[in-house]
Amino acid sequence: MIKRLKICLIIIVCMFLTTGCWDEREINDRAIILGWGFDQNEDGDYIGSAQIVVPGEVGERSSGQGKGYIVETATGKSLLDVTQNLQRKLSRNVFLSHQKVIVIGERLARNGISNILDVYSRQPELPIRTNFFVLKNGDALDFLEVPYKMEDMPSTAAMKMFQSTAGPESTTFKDFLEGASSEGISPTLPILEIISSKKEGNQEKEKDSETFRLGGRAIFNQNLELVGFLSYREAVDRLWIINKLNTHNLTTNLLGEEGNVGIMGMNFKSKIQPIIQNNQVEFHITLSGTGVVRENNTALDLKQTKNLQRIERSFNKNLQDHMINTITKVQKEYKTDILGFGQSVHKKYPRKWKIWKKDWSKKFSDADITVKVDVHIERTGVTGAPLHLKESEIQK
Amino acid sequence: MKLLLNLRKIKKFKLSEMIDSFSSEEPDQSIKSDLSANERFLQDIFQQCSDVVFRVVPINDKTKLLFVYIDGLCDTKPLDEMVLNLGRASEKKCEVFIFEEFVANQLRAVAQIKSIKNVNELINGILTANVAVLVEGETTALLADLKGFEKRSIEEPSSEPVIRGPRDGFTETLRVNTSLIRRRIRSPRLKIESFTIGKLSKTDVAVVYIEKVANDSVIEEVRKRLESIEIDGVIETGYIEEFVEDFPFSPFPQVQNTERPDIVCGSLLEGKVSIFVDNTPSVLIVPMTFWSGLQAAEDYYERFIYVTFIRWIRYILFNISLLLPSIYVAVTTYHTQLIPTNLLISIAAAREDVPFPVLLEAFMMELMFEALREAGIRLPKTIGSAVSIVGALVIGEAAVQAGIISAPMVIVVAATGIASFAVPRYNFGTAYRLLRFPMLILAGLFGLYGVILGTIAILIHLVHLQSFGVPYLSPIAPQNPKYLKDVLVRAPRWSMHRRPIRVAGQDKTRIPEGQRTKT
Repeated sequence: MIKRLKICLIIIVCMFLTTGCWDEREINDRAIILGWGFDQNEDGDYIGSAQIVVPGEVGERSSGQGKGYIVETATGKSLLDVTQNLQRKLSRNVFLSHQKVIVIGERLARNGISNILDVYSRQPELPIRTNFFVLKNGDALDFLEVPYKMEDMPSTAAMKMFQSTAGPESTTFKDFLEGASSEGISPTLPILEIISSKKEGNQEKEKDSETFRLGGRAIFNQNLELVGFLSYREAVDRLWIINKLNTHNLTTNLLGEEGNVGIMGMNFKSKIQPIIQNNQVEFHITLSGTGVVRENNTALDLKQTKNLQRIERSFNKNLQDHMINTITKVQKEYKTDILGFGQSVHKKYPRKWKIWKKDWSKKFSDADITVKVDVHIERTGVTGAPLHLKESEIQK
Repeated sequence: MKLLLNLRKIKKFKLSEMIDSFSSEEPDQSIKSDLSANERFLQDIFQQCSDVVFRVVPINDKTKLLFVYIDGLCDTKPLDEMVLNLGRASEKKCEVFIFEEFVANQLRAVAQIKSIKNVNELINGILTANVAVLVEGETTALLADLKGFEKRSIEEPSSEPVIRGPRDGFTETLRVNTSLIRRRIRSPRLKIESFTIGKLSKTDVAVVYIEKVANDSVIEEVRKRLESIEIDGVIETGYIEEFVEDFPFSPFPQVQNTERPDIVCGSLLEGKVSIFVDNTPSVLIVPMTFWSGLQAAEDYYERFIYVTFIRWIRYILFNISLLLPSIYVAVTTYHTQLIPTNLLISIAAAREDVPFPVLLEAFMMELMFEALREAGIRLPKTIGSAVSIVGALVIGEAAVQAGIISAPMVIVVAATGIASFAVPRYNFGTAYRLLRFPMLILAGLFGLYGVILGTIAILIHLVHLQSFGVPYLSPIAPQNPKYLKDVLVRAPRWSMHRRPIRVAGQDKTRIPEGQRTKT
């Protein structure tokens, strides 16, 4: 019995000795930070802005009192410094583990963000899977102050917007780090834009306030400096090339006819073939996909195979043109390989890559590129020609 | 003369000691032939026992009969009839015949009788509801078994109701209880061994088992443990339970108890041994395993697919009843990262006005819940509803509205309460009810680390536990895949061919193979 008591005592003492940090803290003593913004002022100091939940107001939000959160800012030399300065303004302990979004102001992004990244992967409390955004034309603080009606917290809204539109491509902090550390492809980040909340097409009646929407992609070079933006449509092209496009609705005008056709595209695939001749690289890009007709604003009867072929031809031509525009923009204007062309060279010509990788952006911008798009329409929906057309109007 | 001397000596002792000495220490006392001497002697022993009746019946001038019995324990109606017959018989023929023999024959017609010469046996006989008949001039007395005391009729046990299954329950009478078993198992292999335990109470205890189905070593162990009990009185099976338990300091019961004959019969057929005690409806079953604490009688009456599902629900709820409050405390105070953001904000909003730390809040609520439960058990039924109203209004409504307790905590405690009610065996659920509090403290001090340490400690204890040589967690630990059929699932009857291995005796087969209906 005494021996057993001794053993129990030893175990209990060990329990006290082997604990880690004593981090007991009530929920109500934590300032839950949902959104974090990073900016840089003229002196080069970082400005951190935090969207902090005010739990007492959350329940009352429906009754119109309070918005459920506050935004506080602090400056400092690093994130650690900023947090410490922020704490001086807060009665509750800064709690960063529940950050939903990290937004970077455009100015900071252009100056380079490599100095703020390390802390996120080093501190265990900071979630590495936070969504990462760049705010186009503005400071991150502006974004955090924009109200958003549908969700309790605007930060959650940004995250959910991204999840519901971007499909399989995730841009958590982890993905960005992976992109930044791998060779042959440069990292990109999704963009948030602050826009007027006026309904499109209804310019007069409403009061002008702000809301935000998801934009295309921000392009970073290997030094993690922002070099430019892709529009939302161009970002879709990029996804197709890097083989991550899942389903996407595509609409195109018919070649030489009036009207347009919309399809729901699926099974998007891409194949990048680098060919090196005379120390000059050439890329043949083959893009394929299948589609289901969802909208037909032409007079064509889609039960006819030749009409389907016409639609496919129009799609291939128009998509090809758009794709070439996008690639040329990336190549000539931004000179940054965000399309993974470097990776394909690395795979096929590993020796050449070792020589080329240092000035790859130059090689990339000089490369000749040919694009071939092959969209195959598999189904046409329930009807052939639009039902509202008279028999005589339908093109067989 | 010798007897009188003895009596004087004995008179110096107290009454209780006197009876003791008569019953065990001096077995050589014999009945005298003088009836009045015997009467005086017995009256001395049963001094101040107002319920003992001495009835002297003169049959004719010479012969007298003395009936001694305890009022209320015996049915005296047949006795009266017999006396009338005797009077008539003696009037008719006044011949000399062995009157003792004649009385015995008359009695034999109405009751089981025993003729004895020993005073101790006589006293014991009177105390165990026999009528003692002493005849003038005879040195033997007759004990007529005319038990006829009031007993409760067989009812459905209110503590273990079922939807499907037999509705009879044990009563306070040992013989009725054993008859309920005998009616279900009509085999001479069903053995009912009797013991008498208790120096004063002399309670009848019966060990019931099926020969060759129960393991001999378990039966022998039960016998040994019962025989070594020295106690003044046994009022309930709980008295016996604490003597036969292997680990009395464990919060987990190692002996199962029930008021249902069908549960006892099911266990007997599995090869277990049960212990009946007179004057209580609850019956002990040994050995017990952890899993039998989570099995209900209906598990074997309902369809097996549904029962498998219900069993898993029970396993989950059982763990919830132990862990939910402590996990809530640990996660909200230490591991806030683990809570989904929306939930976190809701909890934070609900807790905004609460003045207490989560641990204290949890403790208060758990305490109140236990108080409600305890108050509800023993209150008269008419007041009982008041408790639930006060509980629901004060704790559920007012405390939350006043901001003293947060709503999530009420939900957690309520969920824990409901989960703990899902444990089919009441005394098994109490183990986790107890352990919930140390787990709460561990969670409050160390967070999930403490919860995990506590769980590991409980597991170590459970693995270490044994009940009559059977590991408490078997057949999970030590694992025996063959016998998981009745633990992880409830396999169909026709596929459970063997008895649980560690309990069963030589006769291991329950159901021969190949009995599934062919279609």
